[in-house]
Amino acid sequence: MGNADNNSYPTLDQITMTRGRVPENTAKHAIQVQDLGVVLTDTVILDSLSLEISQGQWVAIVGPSGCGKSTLLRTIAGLTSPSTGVITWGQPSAPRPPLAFVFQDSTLLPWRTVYDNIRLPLELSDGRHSAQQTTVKEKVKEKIQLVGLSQHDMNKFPRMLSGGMKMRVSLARALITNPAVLLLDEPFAALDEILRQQLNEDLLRIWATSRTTTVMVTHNVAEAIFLAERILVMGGQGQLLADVTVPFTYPRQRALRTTLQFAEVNQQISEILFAQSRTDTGK
Amino acid sequence: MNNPFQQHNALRLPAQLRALFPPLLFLIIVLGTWELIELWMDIPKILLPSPLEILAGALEKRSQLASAAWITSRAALSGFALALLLGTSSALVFSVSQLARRAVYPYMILLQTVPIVAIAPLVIIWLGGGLNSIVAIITIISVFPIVTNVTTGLTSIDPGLNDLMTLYGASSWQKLWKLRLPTAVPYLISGARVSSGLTIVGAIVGEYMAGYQSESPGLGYYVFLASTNAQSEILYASIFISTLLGILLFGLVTLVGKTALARWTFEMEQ
Repeated sequence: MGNADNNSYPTLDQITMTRGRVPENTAKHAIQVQDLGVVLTDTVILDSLSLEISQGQWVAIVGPSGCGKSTLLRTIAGLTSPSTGVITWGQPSAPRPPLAFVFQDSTLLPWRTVYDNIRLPLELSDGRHSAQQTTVKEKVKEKIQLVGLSQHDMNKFPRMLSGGMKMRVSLARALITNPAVLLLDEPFAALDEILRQQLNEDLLRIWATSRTTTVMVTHNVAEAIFLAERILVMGGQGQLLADVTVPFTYPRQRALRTTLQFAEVNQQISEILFAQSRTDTGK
Repeated sequence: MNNPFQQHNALRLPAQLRALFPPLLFLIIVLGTWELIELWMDIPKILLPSPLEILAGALEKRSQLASAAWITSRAALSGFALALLLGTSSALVFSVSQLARRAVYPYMILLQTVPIVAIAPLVIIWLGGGLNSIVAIITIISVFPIVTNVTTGLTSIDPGLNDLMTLYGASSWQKLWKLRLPTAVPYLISGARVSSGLTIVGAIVGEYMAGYQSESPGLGYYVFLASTNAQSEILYASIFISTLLGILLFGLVTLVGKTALARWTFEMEQ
């Protein structure tokens, strides 16, 4: 098979794929979800879900709408309380590490400038503004550059920015605290395809500098394969249908999307989702 | 050399001024027709004075009317300030305590429908005639739009922004200062715009009923005096001046609002 063209990528038979269970992971775990159950207004969203995410791993969660993938992310972030089960961070008693969350919507405060939006997390964690303003400014400038915005954008208000730029500001705000865990909830779902791919590539470039543990929820299977090193396929009520190790090494280039292996992984995951959707509709 | 296009541009008035032209034209037509009807039909002055008679009467009493307008404006502004203060603070209480909101807020809405003319005599019994009663009446009539608007603003925060604040461990105070209050500002301004028009209504009602004890009476007292003394031209002049005051206050609040809202994405409804 076409190994001559893409020597750096392994062939499909090297892809490990386990259905229905998560493999034992011997690495130091950054996030451990045990027996997680979430019930919201009498509806079971997640039921006894267990999974482990290693430190520095990029995990994508794909699944149909309403399967509970966003709830899982929100529960990890502490925004939703679990009804049963626990989430631990490395050691059983370790405190929750500094987290950052990028929402589907850019969630910028419309009355604050780009600069003031990005520094918000620092301001909230340090209510008395004891941090040196110059240090804060340096940090903001650094992140603005990192996410591909210009210094001229610092004093603009969100309404002056395009959808893609707003997402970049949102990303810069998430990175300002140098989080140990980055949670992304369909961050680029509202953007057009080209912009989405651009931001995917920028996100990979940014991630490569820090290798932060990243958990991303997405509807887009291609996006998940391009970005993540591991993909969890979820069915209803947080049932894990598959745990896919993505067979591509970093750094990844745009051309990866056009390779045969990429298409094959995409098809494998899509097949699982199709099968699940047929079961759900009773066909 | 003159550029004909430049000249053309120089002659063009700003869009806002040009927008004033049709209503002004209409006003002139109405006043002109009114004056002509007076000339032709010779209606007694006490029933309907002509615009020129009103102007003459107003000019004759200009110092008293100017002082009355000033007294009325001062009362209206004091009542308005008090309404802003009271309205915003009760909205704060309602936004913080769900119990208070559930228990008291429905009555606030109900009280809004009680006619101010019916409450005014009560206020005068409690506070006596004069400025205190007048300011109280103005506050009562203009506080409700502020309470309801600001409460809505403080409680309708974007859930995504609330999540963001929670995620970064924001305290209740931080959420209030950095999220709830800024969210409520556009609501406060639209409430204040409604209130500003009501303050003049309150001032005239208050002065009409309680202005007799003041040494320097306001416009409402002139309305009362002019109607009992059959001085129709003074009555009309007082009506015009108080309307003008209402428009001025409304315009002022709108201007302040637009300047403040330049930061917000929300556009004010017209």
